[in-house]
Amino acid sequence: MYPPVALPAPVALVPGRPLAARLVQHAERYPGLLPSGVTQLVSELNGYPQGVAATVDEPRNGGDHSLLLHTRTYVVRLFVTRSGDAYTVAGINPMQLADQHRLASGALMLRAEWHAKLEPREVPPGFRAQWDVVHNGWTALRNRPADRRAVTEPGPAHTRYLDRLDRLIDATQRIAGERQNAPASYPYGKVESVAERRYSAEGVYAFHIVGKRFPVRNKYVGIRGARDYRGQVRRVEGDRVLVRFDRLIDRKELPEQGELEETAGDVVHTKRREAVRLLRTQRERNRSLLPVLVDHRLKPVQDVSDRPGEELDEDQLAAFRMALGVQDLALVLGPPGTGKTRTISEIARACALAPDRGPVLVTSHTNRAVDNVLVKLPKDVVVIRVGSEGKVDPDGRQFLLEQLAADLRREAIGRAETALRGYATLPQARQWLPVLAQRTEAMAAAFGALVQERHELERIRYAAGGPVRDRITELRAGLAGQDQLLARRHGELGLLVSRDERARARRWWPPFAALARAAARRRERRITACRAQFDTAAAEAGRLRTEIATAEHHLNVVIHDVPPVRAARQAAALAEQRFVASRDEVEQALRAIRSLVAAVDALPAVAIEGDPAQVLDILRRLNAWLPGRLDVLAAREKLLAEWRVGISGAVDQLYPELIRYADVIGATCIGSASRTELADVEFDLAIVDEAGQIGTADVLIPLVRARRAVLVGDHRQLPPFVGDGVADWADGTGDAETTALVTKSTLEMLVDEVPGSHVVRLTRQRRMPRVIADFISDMFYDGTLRTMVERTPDTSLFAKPLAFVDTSGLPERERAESAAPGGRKGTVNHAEARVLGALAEYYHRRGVEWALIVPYAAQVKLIAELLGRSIRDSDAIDGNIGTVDSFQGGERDVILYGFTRSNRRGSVGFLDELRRANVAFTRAKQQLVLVGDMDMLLRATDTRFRELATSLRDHVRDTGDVRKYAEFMTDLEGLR
Amino acid sequence: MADRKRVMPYPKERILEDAAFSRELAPTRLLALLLPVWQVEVRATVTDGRPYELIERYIERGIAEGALGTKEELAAFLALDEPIVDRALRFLHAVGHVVEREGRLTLTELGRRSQRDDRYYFVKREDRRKLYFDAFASRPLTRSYYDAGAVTLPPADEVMSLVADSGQPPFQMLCNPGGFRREALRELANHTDRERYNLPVRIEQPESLQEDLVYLPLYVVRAVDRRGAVRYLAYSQAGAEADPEFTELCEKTPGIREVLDIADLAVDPERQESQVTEWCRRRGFEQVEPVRLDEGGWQVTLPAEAFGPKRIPHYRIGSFAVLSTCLLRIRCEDKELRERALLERVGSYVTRRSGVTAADLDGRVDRVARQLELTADVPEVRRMAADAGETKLAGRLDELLAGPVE
Repeated sequence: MYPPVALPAPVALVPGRPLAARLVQHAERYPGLLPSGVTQLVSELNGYPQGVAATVDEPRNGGDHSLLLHTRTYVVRLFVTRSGDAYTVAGINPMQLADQHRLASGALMLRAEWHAKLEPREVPPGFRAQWDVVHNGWTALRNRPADRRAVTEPGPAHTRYLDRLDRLIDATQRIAGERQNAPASYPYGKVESVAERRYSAEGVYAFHIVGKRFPVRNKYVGIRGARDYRGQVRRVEGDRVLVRFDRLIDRKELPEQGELEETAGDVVHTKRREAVRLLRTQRERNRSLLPVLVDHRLKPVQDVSDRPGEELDEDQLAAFRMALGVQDLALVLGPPGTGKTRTISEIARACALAPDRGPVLVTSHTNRAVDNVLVKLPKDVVVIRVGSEGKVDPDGRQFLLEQLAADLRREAIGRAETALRGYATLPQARQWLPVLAQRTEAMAAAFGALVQERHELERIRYAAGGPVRDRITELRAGLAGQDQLLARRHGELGLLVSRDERARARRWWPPFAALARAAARRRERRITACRAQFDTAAAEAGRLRTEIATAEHHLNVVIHDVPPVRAARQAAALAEQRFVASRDEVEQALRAIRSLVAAVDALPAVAIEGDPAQVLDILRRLNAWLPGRLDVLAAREKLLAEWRVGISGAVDQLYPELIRYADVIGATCIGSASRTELADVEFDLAIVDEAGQIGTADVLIPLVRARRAVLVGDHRQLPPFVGDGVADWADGTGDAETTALVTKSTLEMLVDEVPGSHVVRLTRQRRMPRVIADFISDMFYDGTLRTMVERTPDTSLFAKPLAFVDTSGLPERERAESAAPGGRKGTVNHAEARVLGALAEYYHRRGVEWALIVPYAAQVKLIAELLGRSIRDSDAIDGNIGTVDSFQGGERDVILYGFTRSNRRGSVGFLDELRRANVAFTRAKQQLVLVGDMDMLLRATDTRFRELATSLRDHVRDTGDVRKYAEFMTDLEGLR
Repeated sequence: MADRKRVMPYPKERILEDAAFSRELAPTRLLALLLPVWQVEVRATVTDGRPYELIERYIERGIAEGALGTKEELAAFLALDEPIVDRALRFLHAVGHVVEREGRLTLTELGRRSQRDDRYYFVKREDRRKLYFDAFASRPLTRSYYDAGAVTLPPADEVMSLVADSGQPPFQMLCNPGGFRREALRELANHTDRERYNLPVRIEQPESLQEDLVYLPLYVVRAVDRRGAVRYLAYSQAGAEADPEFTELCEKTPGIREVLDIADLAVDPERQESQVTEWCRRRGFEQVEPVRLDEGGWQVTLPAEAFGPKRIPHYRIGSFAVLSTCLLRIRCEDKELRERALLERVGSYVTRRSGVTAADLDGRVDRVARQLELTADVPEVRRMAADAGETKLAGRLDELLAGPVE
C-alpha cells in the first residue's frame, strides 16, 4: 500500500535532551503504551520487517523538516543531527486520531536497520541519516498524479454544444414560466365522478364551473395549489367541465371547491435537461451521438442482407438497408406521399423479427405521427404504445400498454375459467383407470380362452377326420414344399434381374460392346427360363390350395354331426361371444375416459376391432401411460388455477414484462422518457418520424436511449415550432449556432453535413395526382419528385384535381381580410370562410374524406362555427378543420385550403414560410381546392411568396381549374 | 451547520440519546471518523437472482409441470398471444433457462434450479461490479451501504473537502492498515447470508480489476456500560442506530480500538472543565455548577427558565451537548416542565408519524421518559395529557391503546 523506501545503510537514533522526562510523564498517563527509551524503541522498530509508516513534517517556525515514524500505538518524531550522521529522537507520543488522519493522506513505508546510541558522539563513523533518500521518496509521493477519473469529460467542442443546449432549455423554460405567470383560472363549486369510457386507470371527473369563463376543449389544466394533478379538458357540457387526469386520482383527494388553472407543465424541460446530462456524463446509449451531432463524424454503414416483408421501391429499399446497417445515425428524407411510413414499418419489422436485435423505439413529436406508424406494423410484431390514453390517437389505443395488459388479463382469466371447468371431470376419469386395466386383463383372458377353444376344435376336427384328414395333411405337406420352392425361385429371379440391370447400366468400351451384347442375350435367356420355372411352381401351389379347400369342405361335411366336434364348436362359439363382450367392455371404459378428458386432452385412438393380440398390446401400453398422463393433466389444472389467481392480480404487474417482450415501443419524444418501465429498455434503434419538425433539445430525448437512430422526415415541410419569446431570445444571443438550434430541426442541420452514405432521399410519390405533385416537385424538391400513381378525377365539382377559387372579382370590402374578433391574434376572411364552409359541407354530405386547412386559428374558429350550423357532428368538425401544423403527416381525398390574406398592403404575414404551403397542398389524394385573392397574392411584398404565387397561378391556369368566386358559389348553391 | 448535516442525515444528539436511553449506556464522547473502505471492481462469473415475473414464471412452470412443449401449446394453455409467448421464450432461451430438444421445450439445469428456488437466476459472464470491503478485515459491507442515495463513500481526493466542511467534531481519517486482502474475494463464494451483504447468488472465479480506497463517514460514541466496560458504538449514514458490524470493528480491531482509547486518555480534564464552564457561561448560567460523572461525562442541571423559545428548546432536556472533548448532559430541575416536555414529544411523535403501533409508542414513551428522568408509561402519559387539557393527544393515545392504526 504505502510506497516502500529502504535506507541502504544502518541508521543511528540518539535521544534528544528532553525525551527521557517526557517519556516518564507519558508513562503515567498511557501506561505500557510507549517504549521506555531509545533502546526499546529501536528494538521495536527493527521488529517490523516490512518497515514502518513514515511521513515528513514541514518545518515549523523556521526550523527543520522532521521525520515521523508511526507504529500502531505511537509516533516518533526525528530530526537529522547537525552533522547529518544520525537522527535525534525529539519525541515519542501516543498515536492520536490526527496522526491517523495524516497517515491516511499518504505515507512511505520506511525500512532501515535502526541502531540506538545514547550520545551523538557514539554514532560510529560512516553512519549517515540518509535524509536525501527519505526526502526524495516523500517528494515523489507528493507529486504522484491524481487518480485517474473513471469518466472522462467531454471535449471542449462537445461541452460548448451541451452548454448551448442547456442555455436554450433554461431560456425556454423561463420564457414559458413568464407566460404562465398569470395562468387563466376557472373557479369551481363542485366535483363529481362521471361514467366516461376509459381504457386505463386514469381518473375522469366533472367540475361545475362558477362564473362565465370556461376552459376550452383539449386544454391542459391543473388544480390550483396541487401541482401533481394534471389533466386535459375532454368536454364542456353546460357548466360542467370534464377533465381526464394523467393518472388515477382518488376522489377524496380532489378539493370540493377550488380552481382549475391552465398549465404548461415543466416535464418537457426536465426531460430535455436529463438528456443533455446523460450526454455530459457519457451515459447515453448511442455513444456516437456527440461525434455525429457536433463533429459530423459517422461510422460506415454496414452491409446487410435483410429483405423487407413487403415490396419496397428502390429508394425505400435503400433506406431500409441503410437503417438496418447504420451504426450511429442515418437520415431518410421523405417528401409527401413517398412512403415514409411504409419504409419505417418495414425497418421496424425487420428489427423485430431478428432475435438478435433489440427492441425498436418508434417516436415522434406528436402522438398522431407515432400512431400512424404503429397501425401499419404487421400483426406478427409485438407493439406497445406508451402514452396517456387521452392523447393517444384512437387507432393507437389498441396498442396502449394499459389496454393491452387489461385485454390480456381479461382474456386469460376468462379462458382459464372455461378451461378449468374442463378439468373438473379428471377425478372421474381417474376412477375409470383401474376399471380399464381390469377389463383389459379380462379381455386378454377371454382372448386366451378363445384361442384355446379354437385349437381344441381343430384338434377334434382332425381327430374325427379319418382319410380325409390324412389327405389334407398330405396336401399341406406338399403345399409347404411347393412354397419353399417358390421362395427359392423368387430369390433366383430377383438376383438375375438386378445383375442384368447393373450390367446394362454400364458403358462398355467399344471393342467389348459386342461381347457385352452377347452376355446380355445370355442373361435374358436365363431370366426367361427362371421366370417359367417360377410360374410353374406358382401354378402348382395354387392347385394344391384349391385341393386343400375342397378337402377341408369335405372334412366339414364328414364331421359335421360328430358329437365331440359339435361340442367343441359350441365351446369355441361361446368363447368367441365372451371375447367380444369383454372387448366391448374395454371399449366402453375407453370411451368413458376419453369423453371425461376430452375438454382438455385428446387421447390416442385405439382400433379396437383389429388383431386382438396387437390391440391387447396397445391397450396394455395405454394402461401404463394413462395414470402418468392424468397426473400431468392434474398438474395442469393446478397450474391453471394458480395462473388464474396470478393474472387476476393488479394489471400493472404485467407492464414491465410486456414492455420487455415488445418488439416495437411507440411513444412521443417526451413520452419515451417519462415511464419508469422504459428506463431499462436497451433500444437497439430509435426511428424518429416527422424529424423535420423536431428540434435538437427534443430529439435528444429518444436519441440518448437507443444505440442507433434513424431520423425520418422532410426539412422542406414544417420546421420545429418555436415560441416568439424563444426566437427573440436566440436572436438576442447573437450566436448563429444557438439560433440554428432553435429554428432548425436536427434533420435539417445534419442533412448537408453527413456523408451521402447516411442519407437516403425517397423520390417516388404515390399520393397526389400528378398535377399537384409536379407543382410541388418544382417548387420544393428541385424537380426530383416522381409520381407513381394515376388518379381517376372526380369531375362533379371541378374539372381538374387542382382548382383555385379566386375571390379577386369580389368588391374589396367583401373579399378583404379582417382582424380576428375579440382582440385575439390572427386574421379572418369571411368570404373565404363561406366558400370553404360550403365546400366542406358539400364533401361531408357526399361521404368524401376531406380536410380544411387555413393558416390562422381565428379563421379555423370562424369556419368551425359556420359549419357547426350545418354539421352536427362536432368530432367531424374538430378532426377535419385545423391549421397546417395539425395536419402534417395526414392525408385526405380532398383538401380545402384558404390563404385568408387579402389586403392592399400585399402583406402575407407568416405565409412567407413557404413550407406551410408545401404541407397544406400535399395532403390531397384526389382533389386540392385553393381559395384566395389571386390578385393580392401576386402582389405580395414577400419576394419568395410572390414567386410561389406566380408559379401557382401559371400552373393552375395551364393544368388546373380556375373558378371565379361568385359564379362558383352559385354553382355550389345549386348542387346543395 | 448545513455542511455537517450533509454528511450525516441526522443530528448527532439523536445517536447520543439512542446510546443513553435505548441502550442504557453512559456516553462520554462523540468522535467523527472516516473509515477506509476498499472499493473493489470485481470481474467474475456471477449468478444473480431476481423474483420471477408473472408470464415467465408460468411459461416455465407450464414446461416443467404441465409438460407443455411448444410455443403453441403454451400460448393456448395460458391464453396468451403466440408472439408474446415467443418473445418470452426468446428471453428464457437467451438467459439459459429453456432449450428445445427434438422439437419440445425443456428446462435446463439453471431453469430447474430457478423453479425449485422460485427465483429467476441468470448467469452473467464477465460480470463487473464494485464491491465494498472494510479496509481492516477486508469484510464485505452490508447491503445498505450500496444505497448511493443515502451513503456517500468519497474517494481519497474528495474526502479532504468533506473533512474541511465537516464542522464539529471534525471528521478524522483512519489510516489504511494494509492492502486489500485478495483472499476476501475467494471467501465470497462461501459467504452465508448473501442477501444481507449484497452478494449475488453465486460468484465464480472472482478477480479484482481495480482497488480504490474510499472513506465511509462514521460517528463513534464512546460510552460506558453499567459494569464500567468501555463501548464504541458506530453510527453510519445508513441509519441512526448503531451498526453492529462497524461497532464490532471499532471495539475489536487493534489498530482502531487503541487509537480510540488513546483519544480518550489524551483528553485533559481541565480542558473539559473549561469547555463545560464556557458552554454554561455563554448561556448565562455562570452560577450553576457542572458536575463530572464517574464514567467521564459531564452534566449540568438548569432551572426551568433556561428552557423555552429563544432559549434551550424543550426537546433538549435530558439530552446532550457535544463539546470537542466531552459530552454535557443538560438536565432540568423542574419536574413539571419535564412532564410538559414529555407530552410535547409524545404529541409530536403520534401526530407526525403515520403507522405508529401501540408497541412503537410504548418504546418511545419509555425512552423519552427515561431521558426526562420521569417514570411514565402510555396510560400515565394519557392521564397527564387529560389533566393538562390536551384532549386531542389524549384521544389519539386512546386510539392507539385500542389497537393498530393505519
